[in-house]
Amino acid sequence: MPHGARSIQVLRGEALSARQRVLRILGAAGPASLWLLIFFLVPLFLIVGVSFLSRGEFGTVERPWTIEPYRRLAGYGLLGFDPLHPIILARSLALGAGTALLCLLCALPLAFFIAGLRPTWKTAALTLVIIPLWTNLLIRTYAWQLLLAPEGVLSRVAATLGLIEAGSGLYPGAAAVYLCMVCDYLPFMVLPLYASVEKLDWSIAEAAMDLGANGWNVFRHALLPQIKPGLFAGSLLVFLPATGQFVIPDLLGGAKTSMIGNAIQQQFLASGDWPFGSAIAVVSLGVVMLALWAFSRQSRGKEEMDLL
Amino acid sequence: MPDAAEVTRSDTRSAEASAGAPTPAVEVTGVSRAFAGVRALDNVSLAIGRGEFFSLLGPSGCRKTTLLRIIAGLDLPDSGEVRLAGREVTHTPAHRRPVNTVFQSYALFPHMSVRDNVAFGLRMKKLPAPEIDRRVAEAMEKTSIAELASRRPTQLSGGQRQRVALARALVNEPEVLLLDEPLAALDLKLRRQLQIELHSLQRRLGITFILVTHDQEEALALSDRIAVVHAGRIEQIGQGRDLYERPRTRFVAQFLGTCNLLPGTVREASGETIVAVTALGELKAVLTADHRKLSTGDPCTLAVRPEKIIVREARGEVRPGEYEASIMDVVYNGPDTDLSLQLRAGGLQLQVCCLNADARAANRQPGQSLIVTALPPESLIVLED
Repeated sequence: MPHGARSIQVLRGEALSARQRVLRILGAAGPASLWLLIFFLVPLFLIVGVSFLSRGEFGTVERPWTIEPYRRLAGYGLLGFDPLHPIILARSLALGAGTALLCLLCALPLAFFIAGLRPTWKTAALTLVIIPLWTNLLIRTYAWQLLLAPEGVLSRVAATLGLIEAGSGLYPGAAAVYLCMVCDYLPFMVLPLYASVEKLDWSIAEAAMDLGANGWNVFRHALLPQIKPGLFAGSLLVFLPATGQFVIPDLLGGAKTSMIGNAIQQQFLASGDWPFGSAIAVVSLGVVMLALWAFSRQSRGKEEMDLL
Repeated sequence: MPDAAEVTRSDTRSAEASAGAPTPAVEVTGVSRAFAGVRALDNVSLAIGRGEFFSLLGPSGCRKTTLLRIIAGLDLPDSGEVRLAGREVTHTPAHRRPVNTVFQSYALFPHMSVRDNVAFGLRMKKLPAPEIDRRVAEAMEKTSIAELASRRPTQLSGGQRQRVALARALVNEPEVLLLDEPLAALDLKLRRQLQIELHSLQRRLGITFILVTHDQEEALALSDRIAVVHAGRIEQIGQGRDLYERPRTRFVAQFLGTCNLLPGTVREASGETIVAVTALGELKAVLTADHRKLSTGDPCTLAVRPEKIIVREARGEVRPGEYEASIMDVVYNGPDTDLSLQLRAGGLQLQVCCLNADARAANRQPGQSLIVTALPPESLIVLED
């Protein structure tokens, strides 16, 4: 054990005293840490704190400490049991998971297709994937309203094909919501997937073929494990914001169904019930993190278990 | 310890081979392949017998790997035909060919343990689990990787990875095992050791091996027969000894070992020998049966291997057919010494290799004089071009 502050550490070929090391770490990670502390950790703790307080008279919060907001969230309200909020939460999670799954199904072939293009075409294709993001989300959503309206071309085609009743539109409805969601979140799935498809080691696929694997088995045993990081990153980038999304279901779903985002917004703005709004936020955060944990265990757990 | 099943199988194979005209394990007929309009393989044909250790030898970029990939089914020829054990497989996909490959990069599955890597082929065949376990254990035993079973490829050294790749291919008991520069990434000592193992493994299993290599020593040490590949064509096929002693073309002569080339003109041609006029005067050389007919006045190239040239100390008179020379450069190799000689007459340079049989031979210095003794006709090779 070296003596106190005089200890010297060698870092990448440089000899540094303990003080220099602290300064260096602060210099590198300091600003970002400060930012996270002020704008993430402190608000998060405030929200958690508020969720255990009582509602004041004019939209304020006051003591005593209580778990009443959580009881209400679980469905035990003034009027007896009503599972409205658990259903909203489940619906939001389903929307997030459904969007992520549909995006994955669209993005997987697309990523392989783009990775197979010649370099100049690759850049063009990736630009095309990103271009929709240059337009504001609201404008895109309103555009879908027009495109999917009963008198629109798409609705008529769908009616002719017998997919929907004649005279009705694709909008409003679940189909419109998912269509718009997938279009909005697709780039977040395509980009990380493309990054991992791009650096695939194809010799491993050839080895699998050589050892008797057919097309599906080559994909499952030789390609899928290699693109798993991209798959995981893309799914996260879609699932998280899609779960909290409320504008699209509102505008395209016909404002009949409430999402977790709507519920939170309503409590904070319309009802002025901050403790209950905070409780919804805390619980949905908890549920999402639980889902992520389960997902990450599922997707990389097995091999690491082997090692341990 | 070779198990009973193995012995029986190699026995039936040799029995088949001796019964009448045996079908070759691999038969490639007139295969051509072009990449982006550039000819990679040009009308390649060869037949490889059952249980043979066959090498495709050539410099990098000569397309020997392309040929191997076509046999494996990982690449398709533009024209021509591939047969495995008599069955036409030119367009059969790789996963339905009774052939396995050891890849140059090994291409082990990084997310699987060694055991799972080895078991992969058998699992794809949906064999019952007990049989898979038994055969995997057996293959790992044979390649001495049993104690690595639960490791990952990233936790292995180069030599261990090589063995895993070998076990993963052999466990399927393929008709033909293809090896694409399997030892190229290893250091010299390990390479020599694995060469010996590869050789004895092949002898024991009796499986046809096709080895792609650019290392002529490796090819000579391991193979029953070698095909020298140059610029997408097969220059010559034969046993290593034949290729070295009787190369047909300039490329083969120079790629396998070193060679002194003597351009000249045919002065006299009889059935079995020719006399050619070269920078060393008139030389007599023996023709082999498969040489095309040379007649008087034709240009020809004679080749002589450095170790076939015999030198003696510069004492006494220079007899007819002998040449006075001085040493330009000396490279001491331990068992032998390479000498660069310059002939007094004509200024021709010769590469000579002498065994360090005595102190004088081991202590040659630049500037010394020597006498090159007469070249016997058998030591001179007539090249085709």
